[in-house]
Amino acid sequence: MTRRTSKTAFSVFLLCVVAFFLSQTLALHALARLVPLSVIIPTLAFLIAQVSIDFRGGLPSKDKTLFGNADQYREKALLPKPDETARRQTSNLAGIVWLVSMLGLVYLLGFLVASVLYTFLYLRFRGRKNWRLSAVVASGVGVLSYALVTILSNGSPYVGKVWLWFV
Amino acid sequence: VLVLLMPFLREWALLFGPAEVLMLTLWGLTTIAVVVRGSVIKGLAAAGLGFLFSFVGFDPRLGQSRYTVGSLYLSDGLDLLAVSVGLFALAGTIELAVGGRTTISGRSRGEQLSGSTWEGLIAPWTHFWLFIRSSLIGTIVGIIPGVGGSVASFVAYSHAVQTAGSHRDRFGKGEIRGVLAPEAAVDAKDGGALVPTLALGIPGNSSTALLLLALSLHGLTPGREMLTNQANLAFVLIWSLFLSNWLTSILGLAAVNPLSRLTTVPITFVIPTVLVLATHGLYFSRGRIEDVIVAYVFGVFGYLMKVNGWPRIPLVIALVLGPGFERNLYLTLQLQQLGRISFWSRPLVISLIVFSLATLCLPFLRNRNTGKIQGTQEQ
Repeated sequence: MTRRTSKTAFSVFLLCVVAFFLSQTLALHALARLVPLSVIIPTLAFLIAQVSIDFRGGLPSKDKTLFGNADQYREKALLPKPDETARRQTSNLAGIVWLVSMLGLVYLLGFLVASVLYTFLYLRFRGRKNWRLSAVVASGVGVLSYALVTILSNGSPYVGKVWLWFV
Repeated sequence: VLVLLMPFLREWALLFGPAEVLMLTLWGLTTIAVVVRGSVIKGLAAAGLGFLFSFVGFDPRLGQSRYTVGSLYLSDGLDLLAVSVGLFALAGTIELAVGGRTTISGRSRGEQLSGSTWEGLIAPWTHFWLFIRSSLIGTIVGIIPGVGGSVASFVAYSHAVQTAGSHRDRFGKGEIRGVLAPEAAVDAKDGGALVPTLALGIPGNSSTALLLLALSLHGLTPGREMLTNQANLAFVLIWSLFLSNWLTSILGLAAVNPLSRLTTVPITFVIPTVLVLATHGLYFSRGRIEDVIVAYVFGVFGYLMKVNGWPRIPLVIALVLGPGFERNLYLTLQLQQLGRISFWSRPLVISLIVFSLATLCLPFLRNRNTGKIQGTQEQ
């Protein structure tokens, strides 16, 4: 997937989000539709315009921003080389997966265990640090997490779904 | 400036009814959408999305549940703190993780960081008038609703370059005036941004949006009521800003060396720590795990917005302004139906509509002029 395709896909995704809002709005009471529709209709129009621009390969840079052509040079400078695109997309995906994995760990194992485990796994496998350093830093984060949990939660922290299943 | 403006602000705020506040909200959002980096269409669409996200929950007039997909949690609406942390902090964390840098500064040791504290300390005095002019630019830009720090720094930087005479070529190569002018303007714009925030309850940028959020969490509503019935509170806010500027300057000077070394901490250590702190903070703000889930969803969403060139600031500001927009739209329509106001005969409303249209036309007019100039040069 090229950078352009990714941009188009994201615009289409946003269009779907607004279309979902529209479908939900039409199911509302007639009086309750007024304000949402006054926002949805122009937003939908802007998104359709954006999707069509993306499909055509973007606007000429002079039409893009208040600051004239500044972005044209910036975008050209930031444009990845073709072989770099695949690497960047994999990297983006990995970044998102690592973030979501923290949420998964918290949801399943609770804050304390998730904080220690996530820090350890991140340092060891993403940061490629040695086992000992990863364990020491993870323990430090665990102590910090314990302090936060104890001070802020008044003794009732979220313990995770796994613990709740066993209990 | 704020203290001097306070007596006038009270009178000024009384001129604004629901119709004026509604149009000011739209003008502010239009301005943000136009000035943020990227395309105007994306900015306006992002603002529209922000409004739609703010509508999640109950319809304020009929009490009908909307966009909740059957979730009890969403009936309360999306938590602003969770959305903001997701869009900025968590999205920023992913950005750091995939950015390829080993440290934030790109240097691995504190000794490799260049610059002198003393040089920075005396710079405002050696370039005193530039400092004053840039601060004034920041204050004025800050007062205009919706125009934030990026515009203030841009205008101040341009001013510094224009007034540099024969030293223009030094800008971009470590010239202290290139840092002094935008920083003075950015600091000054916070005071200016408090004017629309306190007088009308309309945040000018993301930081005043967060201030508005914090005030509303404490049950305070900025606007006419605050300036008339709780003027002492408004003064407390103004003096707090004044003192906080001094305090942060003193603390900043004391901590500049150790803080600058923080930028040399490897990113692999920063990311898990930030994530753990952000996740804990989110959960303990209301004690709901759903807030954490919302923040992570918006973290991924914010990152995708960033990667694909969509501005996030209009979305957050529209999210904050959404309930007020809805309330004022209903009030305006009701007052119009009852014959209490005539929307199209109110001078401020007309002026604000003209401002909004002019703001929307500005990029196109500018590009047209640029095209003409380029055409003349080519001929």
